[in-house]
Amino acid sequence: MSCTNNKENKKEVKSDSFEELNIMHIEADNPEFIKYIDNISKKLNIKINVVPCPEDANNRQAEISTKLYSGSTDIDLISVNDEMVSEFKSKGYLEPLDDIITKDVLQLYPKDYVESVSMYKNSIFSVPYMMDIMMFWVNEKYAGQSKIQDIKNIEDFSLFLDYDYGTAVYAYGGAWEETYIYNDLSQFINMFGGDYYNWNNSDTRAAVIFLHDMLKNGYTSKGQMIDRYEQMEQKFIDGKYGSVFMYSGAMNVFYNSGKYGKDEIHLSKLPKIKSLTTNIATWQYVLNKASKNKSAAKRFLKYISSKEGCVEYSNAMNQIPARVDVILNEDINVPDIDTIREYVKDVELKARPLTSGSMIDISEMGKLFQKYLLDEITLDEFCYNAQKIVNRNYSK
Amino acid sequence: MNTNNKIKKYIPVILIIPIVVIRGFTTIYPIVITFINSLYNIKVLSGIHEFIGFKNYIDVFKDDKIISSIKFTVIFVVVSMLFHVLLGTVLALILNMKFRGRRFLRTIVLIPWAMPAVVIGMAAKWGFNNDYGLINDLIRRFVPDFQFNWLINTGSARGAVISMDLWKDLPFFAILILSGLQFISEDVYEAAKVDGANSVQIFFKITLPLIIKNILTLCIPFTLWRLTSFDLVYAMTSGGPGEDTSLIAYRIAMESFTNLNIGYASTLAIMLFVLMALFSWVNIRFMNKYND
Repeated sequence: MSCTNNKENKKEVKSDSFEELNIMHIEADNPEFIKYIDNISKKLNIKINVVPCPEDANNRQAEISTKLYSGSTDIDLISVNDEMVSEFKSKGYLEPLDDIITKDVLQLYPKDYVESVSMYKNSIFSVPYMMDIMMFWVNEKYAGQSKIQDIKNIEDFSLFLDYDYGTAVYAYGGAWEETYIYNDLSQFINMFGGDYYNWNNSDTRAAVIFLHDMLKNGYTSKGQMIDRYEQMEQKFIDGKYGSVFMYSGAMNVFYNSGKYGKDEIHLSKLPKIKSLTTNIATWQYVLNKASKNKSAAKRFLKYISSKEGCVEYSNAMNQIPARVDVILNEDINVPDIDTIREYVKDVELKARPLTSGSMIDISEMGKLFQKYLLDEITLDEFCYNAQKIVNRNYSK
Repeated sequence: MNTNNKIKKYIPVILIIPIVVIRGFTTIYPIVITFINSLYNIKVLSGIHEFIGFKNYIDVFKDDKIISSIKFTVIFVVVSMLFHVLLGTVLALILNMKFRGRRFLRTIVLIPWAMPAVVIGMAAKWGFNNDYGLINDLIRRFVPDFQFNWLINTGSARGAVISMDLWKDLPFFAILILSGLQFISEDVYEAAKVDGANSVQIFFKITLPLIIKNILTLCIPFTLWRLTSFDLVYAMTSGGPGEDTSLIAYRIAMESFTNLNIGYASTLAIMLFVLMALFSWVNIRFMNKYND
């Protein structure tokens, strides 16, 4: 769905106030989200209009870029992911939000993450509201068959992968479509203690070889190279995969499928290969610099970044909020929250490696890595070209 | 010449001015602007907007992605058009035969053509899926252990895209040939039969010469549509694996609307426009020669 037919798509949340706010949001079509916004509208006395944006990541990014670049004033706040913030924050399209995420508030978020993703030249340009943690999910039936109940390290993981589960079922499943494979690639590099920005690093190369060999040895399916998360989730639910790495946001999908539980799909501790590190991503609000409703927008952002605002979002949408203190200490309505809390406490949460040309770089890296996986290029050729992609837009 | 005649002479000119203005604004203006943009390096995401002359035109021939797109576009157009002509003619001949249910068949055969290419692409993506697709499901009824990922390997992915293109547009091509076949009088066929001609001779000596102009005329728009086709690939393979099914029109759309690399996309669009104009000109010349 496009963002351009705003009149048709706009969902208006009425209020008697003079202040008005237009939000372009990824969840604008979700009735729960509209109810949540309705409550905020009443609390803050702001008339809030919500317009949807395209589901497809490339289309979404192109449309939002065009709106910001053209100085459009019809949208005030936009919900964006890490990739988009990384691209926009240095371009001068966004309003700094240092008065919302003050130094005190910053401590309540994963600080390194916010500094890496939301900050540019000591200013903060986004307010995270929902956190996705890359987690390890296991199908208990596979664990039972291989008798590896607890995958703690590389040896356990290798044994789990090596067990013969039968035809057309795989010990590991991924979404390896060109724009999604980046998530697995960077996650394995984390776990192997490598550095995504350094393709000569031996640990980075070890992670790449490990993924390559998983495919070569038939531990994972070649067919997943055209799969995005929706296909991967379906296959995991259908019992075709023994384990996956997937963001915590998928919890609702697995839970609502009726397959989540101790005997079926469940969260598992992160195996320690070399480093107990996992990627996190957030959805965030950015404020359009050309907005004419900055005062209302900042009141809204102040609220959603407050403890009350975070709890309200989490309970309304059954998602993890972005504030660590709220995840750890507040009563929030997310299935298996205790396991998620263990990740937050025990695992290093790391921002994904992103550059100022994220979307293009991610896609190019994905295509290049697919070539390596299919043995169309060698490891050295892959690493050489991967370094070129990284160097093009990355400045530490 | 009196005043009345002078006014009459200008009336047609005045009457066509609105359409010329509208046409100029909707066709010529975008072409001119696209050409001007092609001389600039315009990258919206980086905020770059600088004049670079014909550098984009030179860069096109150094770009591996474009070379790969051109290769597949040539394969796609040639193979697809070849099968359009061959199978389209066969289908038209079948639809021209007298049998029960002919009208019904003529109607339902057009259903794929009436479906949007994006919908077909999305359905085909699932259709060719190894685990859930109906293609492999059908094959597994005969070969139970069959496993194949159609859209992962270059050859099969390209074949799948071309087959879906044929599935969609071939019936329309056939129906248009059928309209030509219906103009051929039954008397001609009867006279040939009386003279002792067999079916093959009738086809090559009577039917084909009488519909060849139809086929050549149809080849112009159908080839141009293949050259500008992007939606099927967009929904079905996203140009993958790698860039192996990335048609040139798909590449233009990606450069333009995803990468927001407007200057480069304009260059590709202008080059495609020139190619299409050239193709149409050659085809029309060929047809005129054939008429002579």
